[in-house]
Amino acid sequence: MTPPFRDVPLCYLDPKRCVVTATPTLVSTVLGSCVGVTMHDPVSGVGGMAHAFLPYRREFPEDREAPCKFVDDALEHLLAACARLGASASRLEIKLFGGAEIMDRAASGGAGLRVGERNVLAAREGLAARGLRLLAEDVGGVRGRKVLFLTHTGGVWVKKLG
Amino acid sequence: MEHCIAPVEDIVVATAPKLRQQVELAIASGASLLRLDLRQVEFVDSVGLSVIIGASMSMQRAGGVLEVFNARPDVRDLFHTMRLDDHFAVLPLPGAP
Repeated sequence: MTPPFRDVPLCYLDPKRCVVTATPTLVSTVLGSCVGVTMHDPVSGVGGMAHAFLPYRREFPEDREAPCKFVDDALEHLLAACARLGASASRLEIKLFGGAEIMDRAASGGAGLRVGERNVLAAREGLAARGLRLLAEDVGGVRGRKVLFLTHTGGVWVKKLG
Repeated sequence: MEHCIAPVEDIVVATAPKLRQQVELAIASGASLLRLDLRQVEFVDSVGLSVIIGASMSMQRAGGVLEVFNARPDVRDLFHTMRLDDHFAVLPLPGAP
């Protein structure tokens, strides 16, 4: 009997959310000042992505809204979830996207809130502290990004918006 | 047995169901080689991509293969960036840069 046809699952990743799976999945999201971190283990096929909103949990210690709201928490959560599904940290291909400065600089006193820049910094710091390196990144600027991530290949397609 | 599908418009959320139906028919007919002619396709969105990846994986499960050909540069770039050309053949449109 011929196996049935199935689309690859499509997952839209909202801000403050993560997805980690061993099932081939196409993840899409749109990033502004948020950062997206993708992880992929080419041996186990496990892949995951976080869409983090703000840099550090310590700046909002009472906030327990979502495990991937803060970049530092999101990295921890993503790494733990990848490991639970059989990924090895030493094999992970990690990529970083987003962190644009899209806030109205005039409305925030001229200098801007630098949320995007701080999100990128938090991601780089968090990875370096764990001895993990970025394989690729597309960060900064003033334009948002549409991102597609395929969990079982680790491939990421990025289009700048506007 | 070879089966060819040639979409005549972009593969996006509105048109992906038709491609899905054509792929289902091809698999049900026992095709061992499914060739997707993308000569007239300038854009593939995430829904279209999920159908094409699903076609490749469904063909593999059935013991066959998917081959994409006549891919325009932007579409070929999408498949390459997503590392899909490691999973099925993606051949360019002749004469395209």
